[in-house]
Amino acid sequence: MAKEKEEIISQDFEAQIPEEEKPNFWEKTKRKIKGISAKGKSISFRDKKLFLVIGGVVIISILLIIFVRSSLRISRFKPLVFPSPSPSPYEEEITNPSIYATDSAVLEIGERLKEINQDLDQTDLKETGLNPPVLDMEVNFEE
Amino acid sequence: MKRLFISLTFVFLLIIFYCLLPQRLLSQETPAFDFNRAYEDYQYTYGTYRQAHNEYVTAREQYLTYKTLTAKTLALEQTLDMLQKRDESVRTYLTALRMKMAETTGILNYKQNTLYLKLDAEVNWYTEHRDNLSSAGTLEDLVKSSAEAESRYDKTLILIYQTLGIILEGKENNLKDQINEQIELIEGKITQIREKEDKDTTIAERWLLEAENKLTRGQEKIDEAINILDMMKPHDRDKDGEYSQSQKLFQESHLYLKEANSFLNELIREIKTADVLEKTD
Repeated sequence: MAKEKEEIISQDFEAQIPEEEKPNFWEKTKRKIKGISAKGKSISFRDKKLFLVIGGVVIISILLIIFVRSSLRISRFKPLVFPSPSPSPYEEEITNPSIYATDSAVLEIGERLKEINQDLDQTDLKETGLNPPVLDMEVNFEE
Repeated sequence: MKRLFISLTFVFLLIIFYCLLPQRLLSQETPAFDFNRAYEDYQYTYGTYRQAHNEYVTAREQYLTYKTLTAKTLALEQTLDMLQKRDESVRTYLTALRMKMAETTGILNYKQNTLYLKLDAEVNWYTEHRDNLSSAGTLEDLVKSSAEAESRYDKTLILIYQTLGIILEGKENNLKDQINEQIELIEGKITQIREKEDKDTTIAERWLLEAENKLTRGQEKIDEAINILDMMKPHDRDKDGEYSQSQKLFQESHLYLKEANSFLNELIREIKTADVLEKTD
């Protein structure tokens, strides 16, 4: 009877423990692992070290893979080149349009001429980067 | 446990190896050899030449001052290195020039093919010359080999300037062709308007004629520029000056093309504008 009473009291006591003091999932897992290790071979200091090293290696490998993947992804994409706005030439409005002012062929030629004008402005006729290399051709050992 | 550790280490080493592999091997894509790549190669090689040249100058001064065997050996080594890099600079420059020409539109096929052959022959010459340099045993041998390259470079420079000229000509031809294409379309349109008789085309035809005249002037400037480069001789002292002169003519030709294009713009404006009716008394 006394034993039964004691058990009841202890059960009640456990029920009275506040929520915060109850072991969480991590603590429970830790205890379980400790229990397993206590049952089997006890982990030596060397093994613990080995675990730490393996853990470190795995973490570094993951970080390296992430780094390489991200750098590859960056290199695959060429940087966006935004076209610089070109100054639009002032164009006087036509006050008395002819019947050809809205003619598709005429409008198309007009657009094409604008494009050619842009090409003309952008053409590099200096090509300074392609100047021949400056080389020292006079090699001698005379004083 | 040990096995696990060894296998993990092996995996780790594999990952490191993977990380250290060049990007080109990783992506499994052979980058296209274009002008930009060839130009990068040239710039790098030229940089190594400049460095080798500085070392050669130092070694030469030391040899001329001390005249010791050690100084002579060092001078031999540095001169050989500098000469090899000089040949390599010319070779990579010519390759970049070849690529630039290949990527420029508007160059006439026969001109391009002739220059390809000439450029290839020059590249082969400098490659062979560079390879033969290592057989030189004395400073005198190297001086002789350098003189060969010096003489050759005079001819190479002509080819370089002619190729540069052809590249500029190609650019101008390309623009000229684009303008000519529009002229043909405009001519067709003017004929159509004239047949319909719903608008006076006299002013438009005048603009067209002016634009064509500008194109002809432009072509004349191009011909003059090319002629200067064709007349260049190996013994000419101021090849650079001659090229500048030719370049100036290309720029003049460019101005004519710009004028021709603006005249065509005016022509289009004229077509779009209604005729002014003359008052009759």
